[in-house]
Amino acid sequence: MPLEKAHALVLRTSAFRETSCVVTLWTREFGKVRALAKGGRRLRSRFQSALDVLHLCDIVLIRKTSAQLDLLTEAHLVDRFNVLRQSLQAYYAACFILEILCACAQENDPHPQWFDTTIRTLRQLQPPHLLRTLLSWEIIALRELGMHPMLDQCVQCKKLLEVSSSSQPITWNALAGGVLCARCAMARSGQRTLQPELWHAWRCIAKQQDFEFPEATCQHLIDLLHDYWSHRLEQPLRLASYLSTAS
Amino acid sequence: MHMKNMTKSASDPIWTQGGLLGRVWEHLNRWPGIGPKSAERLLFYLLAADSSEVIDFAQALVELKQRIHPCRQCHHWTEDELCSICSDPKRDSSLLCVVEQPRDVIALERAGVYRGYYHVLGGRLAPLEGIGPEKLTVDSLLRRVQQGQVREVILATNPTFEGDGTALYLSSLLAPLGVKITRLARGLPSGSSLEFANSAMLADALEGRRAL
Repeated sequence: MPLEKAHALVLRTSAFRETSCVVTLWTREFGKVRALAKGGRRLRSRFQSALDVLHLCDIVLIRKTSAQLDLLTEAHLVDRFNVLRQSLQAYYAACFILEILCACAQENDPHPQWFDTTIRTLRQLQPPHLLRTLLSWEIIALRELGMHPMLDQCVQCKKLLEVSSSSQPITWNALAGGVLCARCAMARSGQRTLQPELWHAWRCIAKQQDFEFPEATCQHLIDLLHDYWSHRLEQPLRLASYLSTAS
Repeated sequence: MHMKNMTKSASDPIWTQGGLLGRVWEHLNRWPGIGPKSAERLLFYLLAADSSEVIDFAQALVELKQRIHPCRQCHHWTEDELCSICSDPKRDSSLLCVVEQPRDVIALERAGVYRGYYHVLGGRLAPLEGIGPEKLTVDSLLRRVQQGQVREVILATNPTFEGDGTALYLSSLLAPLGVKITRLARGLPSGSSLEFANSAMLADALEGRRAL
């Protein structure tokens, strides 16, 4: 059985028998992995304190070819992201990232760039730029997952949205997966209007352009994105309400 | 929660197929730390033991479920309205230690150092598992602190991501009430040596260092 090394973020741990635990890890090299950590719950285990949620570790695991769980043999703590334990808003934002990762990360589907961005984001999640940092992460995540909505052209007829028309509200349809031109909007139901500044801010973040916009725009965009995540994942996001309460 | 494979295999005892013996064996096998072999050993012990001893044990179990309930004040298990700690007038009423589980009260009491009162939350905040503040005894904690006797609240939730999150949430609620809020120290265990401490322990110990 092959012994593999990986960088991993702990997504979840659950008790198994008296002293062991099953850990769900998101690795840079293999995507999501579920592994058994024998003796992982002992105070003096060889994993020490590495196996807690949202801990970044260097791991060694034995990969099983059958449907059995992989076996975790080593885990060394690299980062605990202490900033997340200093503000409630940062804690909820980290939980939100965790919720998306738990729902979207797949086995044997590594996303090294997204992994690196996530680690960077978890280190930077602190006020006053917390919402903006989270927003950027969400947009990168949507793009990595192939779920980023169309913003520059009509999702239905593919007609480019003219910049001159951006002073008027734009029609947004989460179910269709993007913005609609005036003609297509009339033929579909379930859309809402997107204020031009919101549309502009979203496009700027998506293109990684430096652009200053008020915190309120950021909050509106976050709410809009949460709505969009819920549509795409076909389930309400548990952390969405926590995030809006904390802010 | 303990995961136990309850499916029957060829190695399971013959009584797993049913009957009274099978029922008792299955009950014992569900208990934490008790595997099929231990359940079998306990079953044989019960069969061989004095009838009075077994009946006494069974009655104690029934009474346990009928008479033990959470303390009205701190939510620790008790037989009376108030637990032995809450009804002890010699304790320091200016100190309140908030823990996740009743077992944490026992662990802290075993240390024999703390002389204040406790408050059992009944879990920790776990938004991803759908455990929000409404499922914990947060309202009752706030009411206790608002009564005015408490000067310091010690947040003794576990030093995990969720435990720290719970402490953050509680401190955001308690801060406007004007009480001192502290968190249990973490770091090096007594009697250990720096050489064998892991990086997390050392980081915690350095962060939580104090003046002599």
